[in-house]
Amino acid sequence: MYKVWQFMKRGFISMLSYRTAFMLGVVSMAVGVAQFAYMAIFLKEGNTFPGIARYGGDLMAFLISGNLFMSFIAVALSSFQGAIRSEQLMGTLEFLLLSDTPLGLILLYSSLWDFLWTLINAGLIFTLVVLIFGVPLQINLGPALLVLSLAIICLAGVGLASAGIIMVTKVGDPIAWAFSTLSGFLSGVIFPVEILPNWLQKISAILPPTYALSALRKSLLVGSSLLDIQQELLVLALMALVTVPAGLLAFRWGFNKARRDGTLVGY
Amino acid sequence: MEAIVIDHLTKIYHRPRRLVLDSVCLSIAPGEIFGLLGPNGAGKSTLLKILATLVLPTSGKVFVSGYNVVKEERKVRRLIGLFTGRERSFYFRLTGWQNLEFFGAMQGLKQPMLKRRIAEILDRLGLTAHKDQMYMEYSTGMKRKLGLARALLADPPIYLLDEPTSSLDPTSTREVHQIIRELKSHGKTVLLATHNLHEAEQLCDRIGILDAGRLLKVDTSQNLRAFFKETQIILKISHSLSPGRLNHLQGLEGVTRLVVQNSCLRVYTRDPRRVLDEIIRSVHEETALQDIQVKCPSLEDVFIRLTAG
Repeated sequence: MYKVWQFMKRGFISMLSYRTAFMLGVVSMAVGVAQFAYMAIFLKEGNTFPGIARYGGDLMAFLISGNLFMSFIAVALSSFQGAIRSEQLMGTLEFLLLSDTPLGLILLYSSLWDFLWTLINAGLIFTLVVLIFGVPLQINLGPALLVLSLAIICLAGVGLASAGIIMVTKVGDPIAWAFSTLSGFLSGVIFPVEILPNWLQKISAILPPTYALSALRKSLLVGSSLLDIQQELLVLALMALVTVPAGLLAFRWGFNKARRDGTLVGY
Repeated sequence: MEAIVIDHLTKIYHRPRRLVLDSVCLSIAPGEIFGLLGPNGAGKSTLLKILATLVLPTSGKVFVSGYNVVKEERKVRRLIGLFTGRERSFYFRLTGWQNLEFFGAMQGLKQPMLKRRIAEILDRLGLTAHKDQMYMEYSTGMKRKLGLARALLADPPIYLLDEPTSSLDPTSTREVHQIIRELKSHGKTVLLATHNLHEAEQLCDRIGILDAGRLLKVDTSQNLRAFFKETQIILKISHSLSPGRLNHLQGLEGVTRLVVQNSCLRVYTRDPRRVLDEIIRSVHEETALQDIQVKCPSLEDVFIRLTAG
């Protein structure tokens, strides 16, 4: 029994030592409950689902496109900080920093495989779903890829900020957490944004995935052209103009703070 | 131009607040092997990391070949090869060769030059037979050698080596020493942080003694030993000397102190030639003298005296 207690104590102390991660975990649970509550409200609409009519009205296509897009959000938000964390754990970060390659490029190169793999996965899943379940799609590939690229650039800015924060906190980064949790909840991934109360819709309106997901669904599910989704594209481009420079600044801040504190290789 | 210039460098870490480097000033010439000696926690690794741009100074200025380590960090990084001695600094599932190829590519080295360089260095370090082995299968000594190989890859002019021979066997230690000497013969500058006084004495042109963040003394090992000018005359005697006799010896001109331990009497003096005859004569009057040794101060003595405050 004493041994079990020692394991419990070790787990508790380790968890508390990563305070940010601990707090974010607790809040995540609360958000998860709210997400299911709104999903239930959405399903009560019955068989017609008027909220998704503009995306073709097919529930499976709506949910699958939302789910696949979430995997891109996850990669864009976490691949940079994942790369930093992985190099910290391997003890190789210092030597990469010392190399002739700028850290930003190292992060980008480290993430390329993640993006490529996610793209391959998403393409395969979409193909399988269409073949097996006969989900109706009207794919306009050009606009879809453009939306996806803009969304990735926009979120990569947030991902960079997240990588900067992870250099300081080591585990638990509130920026990526907030973006990922709020996007999953408020950007229309599993239910349309319109069923949310007004105040939550206002938060949804400032999240890049809301626009990206809407435009992506239009171009994949109802074959919308660039002209049809120009408004979403413009908002995404403007958001990218803010997130990328802000992300670079935040990353530089985290990097320099870790160098001031001498904790670059700490984890 | 000096290879390294450190001007009143201070580093303070917060949480908990601790002064790691305290107004350190130092200049290292190109082609010099400079040894940084100090006990654990003296600030040696922090100093090396500041030079490598991995830690930012709190105050003071640091230049590597004239480039400021804070403002011109990319230029500085191109000039240095760092060895930290940490085992966890490679990709465990890549082979030794693949690891070097990866880090070489990151340093901007191109094929086929990179492959040639890796082969050459692995051969020099006796790792060729293990080049296709995964890093996690390497022994401690092999891991250290691979770390040194990485520092050598880009053939930079300045090397920062943090305890490169610790946990190496005597043969490997000798090989590493030979490589450091070769670096010097090729005009490279080496800053060698070490605990090993013998190593410092053997390899370094000058030695700096760092303790609790303060650079206490910088000089050649010969001058450091001469600095105290305290030679020990160790006398093995049959019986203890009387207090009067001890007072007499203590009072001799040139004798700085006496230490009596059982049948051993240590006389510390700055002028052994002047007092030796009188000491022997005086001791002989009271007791039989079984053995006598004259011991010049070692670097270890200097180190202990300095770091003990």
